[in-house]
Amino acid sequence: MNIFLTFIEYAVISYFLTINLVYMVLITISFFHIRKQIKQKDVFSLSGLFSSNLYYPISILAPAYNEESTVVASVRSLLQLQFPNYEVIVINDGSKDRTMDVLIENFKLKKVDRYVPLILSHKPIKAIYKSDLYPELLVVDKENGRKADALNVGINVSRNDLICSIDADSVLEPLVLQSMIRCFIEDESTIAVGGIVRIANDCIFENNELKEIRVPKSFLARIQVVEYLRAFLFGRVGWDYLDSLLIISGAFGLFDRKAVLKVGGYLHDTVGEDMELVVRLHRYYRENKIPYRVRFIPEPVCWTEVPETKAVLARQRNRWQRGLADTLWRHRKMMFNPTYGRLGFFAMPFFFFIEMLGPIVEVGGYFFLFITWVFGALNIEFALVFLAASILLGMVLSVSSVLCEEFTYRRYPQVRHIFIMFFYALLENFGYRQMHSWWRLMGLVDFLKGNKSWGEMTRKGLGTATKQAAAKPVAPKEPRKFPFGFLFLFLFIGSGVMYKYRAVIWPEAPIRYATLDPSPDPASPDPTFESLLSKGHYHLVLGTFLSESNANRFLESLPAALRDSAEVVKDALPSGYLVFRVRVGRSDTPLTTATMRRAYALRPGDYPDAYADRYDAPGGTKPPAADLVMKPTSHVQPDSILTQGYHHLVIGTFRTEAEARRFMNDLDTLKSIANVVPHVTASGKNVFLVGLGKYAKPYHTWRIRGWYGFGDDDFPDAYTGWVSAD
Amino acid sequence: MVSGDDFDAIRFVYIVASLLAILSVYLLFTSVIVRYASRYVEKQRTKRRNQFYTYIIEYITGENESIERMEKSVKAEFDMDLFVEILADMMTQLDGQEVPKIQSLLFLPGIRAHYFAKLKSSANQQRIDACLYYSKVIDINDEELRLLRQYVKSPSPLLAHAAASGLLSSKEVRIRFEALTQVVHNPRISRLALIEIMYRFHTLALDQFEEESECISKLLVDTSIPAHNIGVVIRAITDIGYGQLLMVLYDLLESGFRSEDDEVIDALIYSMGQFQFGPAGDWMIDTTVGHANPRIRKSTAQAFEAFNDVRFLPYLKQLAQDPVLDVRIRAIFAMVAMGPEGQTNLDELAMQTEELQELIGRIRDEMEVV
Repeated sequence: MNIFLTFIEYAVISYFLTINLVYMVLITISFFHIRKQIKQKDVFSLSGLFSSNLYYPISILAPAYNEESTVVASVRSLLQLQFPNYEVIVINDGSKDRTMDVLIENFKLKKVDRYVPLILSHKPIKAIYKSDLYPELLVVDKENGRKADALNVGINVSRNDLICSIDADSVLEPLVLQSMIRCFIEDESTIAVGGIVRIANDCIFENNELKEIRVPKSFLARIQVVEYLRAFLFGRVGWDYLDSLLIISGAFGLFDRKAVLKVGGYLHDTVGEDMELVVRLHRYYRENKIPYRVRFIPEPVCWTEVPETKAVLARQRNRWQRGLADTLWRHRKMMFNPTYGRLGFFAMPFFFFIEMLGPIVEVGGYFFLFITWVFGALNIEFALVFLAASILLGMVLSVSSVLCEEFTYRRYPQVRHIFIMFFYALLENFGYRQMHSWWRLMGLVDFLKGNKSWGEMTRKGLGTATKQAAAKPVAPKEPRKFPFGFLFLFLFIGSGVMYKYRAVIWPEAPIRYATLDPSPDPASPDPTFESLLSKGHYHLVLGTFLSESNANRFLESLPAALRDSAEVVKDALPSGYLVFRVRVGRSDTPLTTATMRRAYALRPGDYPDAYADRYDAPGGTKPPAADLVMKPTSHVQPDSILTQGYHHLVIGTFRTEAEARRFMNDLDTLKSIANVVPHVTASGKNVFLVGLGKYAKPYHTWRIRGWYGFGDDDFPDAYTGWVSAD
Repeated sequence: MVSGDDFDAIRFVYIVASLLAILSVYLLFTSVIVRYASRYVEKQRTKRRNQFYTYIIEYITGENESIERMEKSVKAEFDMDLFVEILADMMTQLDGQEVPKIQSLLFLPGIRAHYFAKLKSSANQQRIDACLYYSKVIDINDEELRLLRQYVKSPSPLLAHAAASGLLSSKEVRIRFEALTQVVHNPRISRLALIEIMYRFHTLALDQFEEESECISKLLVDTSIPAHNIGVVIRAITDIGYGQLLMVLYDLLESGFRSEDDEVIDALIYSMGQFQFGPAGDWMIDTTVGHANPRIRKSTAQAFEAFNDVRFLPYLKQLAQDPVLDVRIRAIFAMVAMGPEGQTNLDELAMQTEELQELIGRIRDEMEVV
């Protein structure tokens, strides 16, 4: 069991370190890469290009499904983009709300006949509309077939060389297309470019243009601000530098239409169609050895509304996780395959081991913590410090992305926004991160179950400077579903807590002595059973002294039962102190707690009075360092830790208080510092401990070490955690 | 979990956590400091910008033509970059006599020396900055010219493009042509970047069509230039409207120049169509209607449409039955555009197969509305 726990422990820690190392590398790369990109953005002037008719015209494809609250504003913003030749193709994907009606009303749409070659298959088109007001606007009304299907329709309808896929609830900044086309100027082989997605919740829009950037008010949206900054500013920029970008957000990406057609367009039967397409493009071009580039540039911004309710966010993240798993599964051939170069050896394994399996490890880690806690094997101190370190590492990554933003774009105008982001970078670790991991884990479960549903997404609409509440229909309130997930979690944790404290909750519950005592009848206890110490399997060091004479004097003071089996051994502490230990035990190498437990079929946590691992006394061969002396202390007798009064050793464990007291009275000189305390072992046994020390809750070993200036390994004879003696 | 004597691990993680906490706070405060610093810089920029605007406008309007005043105030690198930025901005906003006056301010000795130093720098970014400055300056001295010529050959596409932009700002066709020649020989230059360069080569304000055409005609026959670049050059000169080169292009087409390069042939067909040069149609009938490359067949259909001559209808009819859908669509569009005779031919065609009937029907519908 110990080996297993240690393995898990090291596996989790190694995983954690690997992830963060990769993130650290990415953020360092990104920081320099973004600054370089900003400096070089003016190299390609577009004035000559736009004087010609030879640049690539662009078709913007905006699939809309139940977007009646946002679609008009989004389309208007798309029509205001600054690019000489582009068309906007809105694809109404069989919306059940009034999306089509509001489009017809607001843009004076009229049915037209337009020949659409069926290059990519899709659900039937009901009608194609053109606007009387905006000749560049085309609306396709089709049967519902999900986003990928709608995008394929857009690709078929489009007659331009470049297609820009966006979400209909997003707002693009006016110069985005000009920024993105620079990638195609810079490198002829560019086939796809992604831009940054930022959060529009609570931002102010006027005349469909972003007027004022604000940090959202809602808790979930604020956390997502930090999340998006992290994901885009250093995740994707770093991957772009490494030429291994696997995702271009479905909310905003510019593609070479011919390249998309070559690979067969978007896949219908996946929920992660955006990532899948990019991976398929990589795969096609690598397999056919055609030079190509997939780029990400952080300058062009797409503002999008993010979910503010847990239910919607959970569905979104669940879908993203399913999409990720689906894509990685479909293209598993690329993993560690030299044909795909860096993608196969770096990007794909990263997405598989870190992004896809991440939730399993994280939720598994929490589960493991819980289990070890239930069985008393959890070193709470270590767990807390480790948790703090992981939170702080996450914080460093998040704050680094905030700093990156400060050095580059500074989109959030106020100083307090920096503090808000910092605060939420901290806050996301408490609750949100765990929930997020859970949603993603459920996404994986749903993927294994073959769930390919998209899930309903509700939007409240983007903010405007003037209140237009009447114009904006309120999103329908979702029917409340019974929170089975939380119920399960509650029952799971609750049962664990009840199990741990069942002897306290039901004090009358029969106490099982069978494994401890050959005579299970509490009324007539086995006279030989007094304490583990008295069974001869001793392994405790009772005292540590600076001089041999003091150690011998202490040995002589021990009760006869202990004295016979005790001995004084010379020992060198790792920090260089030469000490003399009074040790109780029959073998030179004392038994470990684990061995003791096995011998008595006990559970971990039953006997916290023994150190858990082997203690190999080196036999005093190590000479003391001349300059090392014990720190001055206010205590009277600095000879032994045990006699200082801050002791924390349990030297006997008894079934009855009377037996414990009798044992204590036999202790002779130790009696003055001994206590009898009732204790419930992890396996539910009511026992009485004889502890040496003045406090019911003895001090931690490291604190005692601190007082005396000892090294970390100087006293392995004491347990490291608290004993809940109360 | 962690065993009793694993204090090393706890202490280590404890120290790491403490360091991370300090680092987080450090990064936070750095972010805040960066924000305040950038605000300060922005304030300074606004202040200096207002000052420079006043000086420049007074200089242009003749209220105060003192150059010294500007020289004195534009000394730091920060000021120089800002000053040049303002001048570049004003040059795009104004025209007429003001532009040369503004351009002359770019030659303030301090500014020129500053950018020349950057041009000589070993860092690519510095060189690019300098090249972008020279792309706004008309007169370049020999030493600057030498460096710009050297950088055009750089393996860095950004530096090469920036240096070419620097050279292309020259008034002399000879220097611009040198830059163009260098660029067009680069097999890795993108189509869009080359179009941008071609449009910079042609300087509308200077009216140097004759000289430019002469230079380009030399380029067109240079077989060492990659085919796709020649294709782009042909399209660009057509788009810019170098009518003087029409016959050169036609001769190339007819003589079968680089006939093995589909991109060149395609561009020449495009050019003939755009110039609406009907005589080229005969050559196309013989050569490109039955070409193996569907892209060329499609361009041929487009060119026939541009010639708007009914004698090409039988060939369009042939192309309307092409095995490639894209070619069929283009040919049908061309036939619809040719008016009643084209429609009659289409009616005949529609009788042949159901697929053609539907395709023709849908394209007709669309063309009536769109």
